[in-house]
Amino acid sequence: MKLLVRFNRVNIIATVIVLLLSGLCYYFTIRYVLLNQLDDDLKVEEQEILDYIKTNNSLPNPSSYKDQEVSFQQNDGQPAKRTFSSSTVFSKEEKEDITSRQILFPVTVAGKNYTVAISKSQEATEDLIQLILLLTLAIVIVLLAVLFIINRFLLNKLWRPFDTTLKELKQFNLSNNQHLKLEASTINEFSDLNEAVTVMSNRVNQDYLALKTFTENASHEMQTPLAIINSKLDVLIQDETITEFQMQQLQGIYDALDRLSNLNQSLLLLTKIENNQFNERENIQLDQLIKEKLLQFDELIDSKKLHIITNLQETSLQYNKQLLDILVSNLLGNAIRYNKEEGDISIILDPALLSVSNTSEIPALDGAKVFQRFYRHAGTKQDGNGLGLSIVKQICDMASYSIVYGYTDHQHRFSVHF
Amino acid sequence: MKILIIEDEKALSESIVTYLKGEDYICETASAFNTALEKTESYDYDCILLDITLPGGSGMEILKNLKANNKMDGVLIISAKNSLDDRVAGLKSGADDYLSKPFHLSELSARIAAIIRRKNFEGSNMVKCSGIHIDTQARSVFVNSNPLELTKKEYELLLYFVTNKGRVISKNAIAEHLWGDDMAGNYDFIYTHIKNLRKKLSAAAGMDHIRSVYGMGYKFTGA
Repeated sequence: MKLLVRFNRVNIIATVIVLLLSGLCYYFTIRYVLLNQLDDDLKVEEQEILDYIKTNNSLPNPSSYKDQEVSFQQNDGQPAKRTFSSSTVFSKEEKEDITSRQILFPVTVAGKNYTVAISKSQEATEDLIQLILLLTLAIVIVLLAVLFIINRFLLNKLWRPFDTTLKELKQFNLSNNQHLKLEASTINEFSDLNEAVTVMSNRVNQDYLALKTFTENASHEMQTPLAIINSKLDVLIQDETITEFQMQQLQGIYDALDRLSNLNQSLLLLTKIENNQFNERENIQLDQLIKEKLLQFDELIDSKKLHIITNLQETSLQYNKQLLDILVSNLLGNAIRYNKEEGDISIILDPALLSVSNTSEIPALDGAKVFQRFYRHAGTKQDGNGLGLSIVKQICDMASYSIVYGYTDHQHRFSVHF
Repeated sequence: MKILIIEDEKALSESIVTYLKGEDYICETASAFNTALEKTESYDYDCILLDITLPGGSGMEILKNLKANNKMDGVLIISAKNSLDDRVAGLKSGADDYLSKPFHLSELSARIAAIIRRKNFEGSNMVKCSGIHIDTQARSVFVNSNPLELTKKEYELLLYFVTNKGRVISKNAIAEHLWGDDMAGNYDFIYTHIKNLRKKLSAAAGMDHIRSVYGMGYKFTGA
């Protein structure tokens, strides 16, 4: 639930409850005050009647005006008590219930007991109370509308720096080495947040850069000793007195050296791809590139007597030539290297997909690990350096292609979706 | 032929000197920026091997200085920084070739020979060795003046052998020269190509110039 929605819900419910409660309070307070007023009026009338009786020693005429009625009733028993009361009577003239306030009090005129009833219409009071209730309701509605407008326009604007920060964070990518573009805000909470996020991202960027520089430097630093070993071996094998046994040992060193150089170069390549050092883009005919690569692998394919099935549609991509070359080279190279004698390779290319599948004696690979660095299936010979597919994955990531491994019908399949 | 080796790693430049001495090359070395700059300014060389990272300065500066002084020395950059940018920058600045470390000395020797061939104006597209004439411009081979038909790989192999004649070349160096990194560790194809080249060459020249050294390398011998 959004913070705003949650806050509004609490806010509005509380506001409505308070407003309704205050409406009730008004209602009772005003009703009490107005009835008191009415009672005071009735008391004035009572006094007038009492004065009249005292002066004239007779009852005044019962009278009935629009909102006041005076009546007398003789009663033989006990004199009635003085009471105030409200009552509702249906009026035939006005065709509605009429509420009125009444005072009953006893008088004695010429030895006879009478009960005097004075009643005044309570209509005006009721009207006032109704008006107050309506007003309260109107205020509630206006308040809700105002809150809605504030939320809709003002709060969204207020929260914008937060939304921008969030968007930037979501798009934050270490390998781009970009700095966050945060919106300046005059609101303390947001500027604090932005400051903290900026400090954090700078530190992460620095750490990442240091790590990358380390990998790159380490790989570079290894090149020179490798070159020295290589050159010493090249000189050493010129010696005519070397025996066959010694030559075999040297061959072992050569092979290990080749592997080490290869590994080092792959690591450097990975770092360079991560460092975005291949940022030149050009239009590349992928179908042509695949055909060229197949020609390059011609001898390997022939020696294993592989059957190649191709279905290549004309496809051009906007990407780095060197990287696409490596991508195709690694995928095809693997399909050939890990194939069995007289096995099959099928290559399908259309503008949305490149899929390379091959038969192999190696069973299905672990899809979760296949692109991890130095992952090798137990059945794999040690001739690969375990980085080929990591490089492919990295190249795909840089171009936002997705690559998927699958195993069906005894065929390993790598699909690149452009 | 005079060659200047500008390389701060003594161990590496020693090996290079030892290997190249077999040819009729006269090698000099410089291991720091200043001495290298002095030598290139004072003398002319047929080919300069130039390391980019040097104590005291960048090899690129030496290259720029050479070009500014209109020197015709051939320049082969040998760099540990195997990046496309460096390669492009080096070649743009007038270097003739670029070789990244680590490399085989036989490869280095072949590249130097190619640069000197190109630099030489005396119709030196021809590489000659005991009756075998290789026209590197037309990519054709003549044995005792008779044309010899070779496949592309066989031609490259022969040229590689001839530019490294008298020296043992490891299988690893041959594989890398012919296929780059794509076929690393796969020597079967070398056997096939060498077998075919030997057969054709023996038939044409009447003798087998290529000698196998304990199955780990090959040596091209002259007459």
